[in-house]
Amino acid sequence: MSKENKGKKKKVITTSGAQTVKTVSVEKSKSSSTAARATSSRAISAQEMTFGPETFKWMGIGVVLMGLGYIMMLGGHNDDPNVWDESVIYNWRILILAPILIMAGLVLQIYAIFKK
Amino acid sequence: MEAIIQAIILGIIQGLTEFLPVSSSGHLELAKYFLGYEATQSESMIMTVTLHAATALSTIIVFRKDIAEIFMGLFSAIKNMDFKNNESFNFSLKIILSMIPAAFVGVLFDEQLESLFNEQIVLVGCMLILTGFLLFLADRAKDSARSVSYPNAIVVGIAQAIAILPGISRSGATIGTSVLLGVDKSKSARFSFLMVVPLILGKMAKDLLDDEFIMSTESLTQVSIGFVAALITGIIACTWMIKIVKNSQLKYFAYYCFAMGIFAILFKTIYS
Repeated sequence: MSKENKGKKKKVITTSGAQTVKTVSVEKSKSSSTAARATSSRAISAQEMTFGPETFKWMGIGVVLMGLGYIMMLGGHNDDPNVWDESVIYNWRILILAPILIMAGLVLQIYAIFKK
Repeated sequence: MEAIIQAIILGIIQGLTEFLPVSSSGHLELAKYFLGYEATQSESMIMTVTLHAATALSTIIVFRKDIAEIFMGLFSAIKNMDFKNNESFNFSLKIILSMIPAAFVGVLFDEQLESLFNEQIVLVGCMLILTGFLLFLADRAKDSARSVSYPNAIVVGIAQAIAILPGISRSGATIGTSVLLGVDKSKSARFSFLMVVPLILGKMAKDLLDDEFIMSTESLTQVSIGFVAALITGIIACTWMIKIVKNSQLKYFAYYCFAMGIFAILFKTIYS
């Protein structure tokens, strides 16, 4: 193929009756094809970014996870101010598990927003 | 029931004021004061963290296409090792630059700043009037087609750091500064909202991991309701704010800030 023909594309169009076959040569410059690709990819991405049932499902799971995190924060204090119980005050459930669950829920919601 | 209504009102106020240029922290403080919101420091803190997380999610939802494009551009820059001409890479770098002043102030002066968020009604009033002046000037600025440059990003970042003070609107300060620097109004709004998302998420992670939060059953309900209210209102307010900036309607918010600021100062002076 010569250098001149590199930018040319042959497109075969078959009509519905299958009686005639047209061969059309389409010449496109490199820049216009790139622009078209960019436009179509933007259009695709816009379509893909629309919220669907999958998004809401994952967002729901994220909300549930965050809710669980908040539930894990319940308690953590002694009713009697004269009693010092370290296992209640420095509870791993409140200090570690609860924040991790809340952040995991938030991350899951961000994942849901971008899920195609 | 009263606690639930308080949570809904606080959620709506946070959702609206995080995006509208009228200071979310200032309005939250005023609302807590006038609603008689009583909570332990831990409960109040987790409420604030949750409401901010909700508005960060609102921003991500509204700008999801922009964010997706930025990340796709970044991956393409890494893949092709072409950083100089990659718009997404440059934009991300400007976002990181703009975050530095606020992160610096937040980390170094955290304790001093916390003391300013304790029923400082007169301070809130004065800062609201200052925000009003900035919005008034920004509204009169001529529109241009310029994008945010690297020096602009640093100056806008400094404006964001100053806006940590209660009563100064973060969006108002950053959009106003950006517009006064000659940047296009829509681009200023987009930059302002995107620059704060990593900062809010980082602050949330830091607060959750550093502090010990204890919840009661009542505050659990309040936090959940507040989150939903702030998320929904945030999506509406963010979309609305982009139109407001584009249509040069910031002056109305300037008048509002003047009125609220004067009201807060007069109220505190007369009734204290």
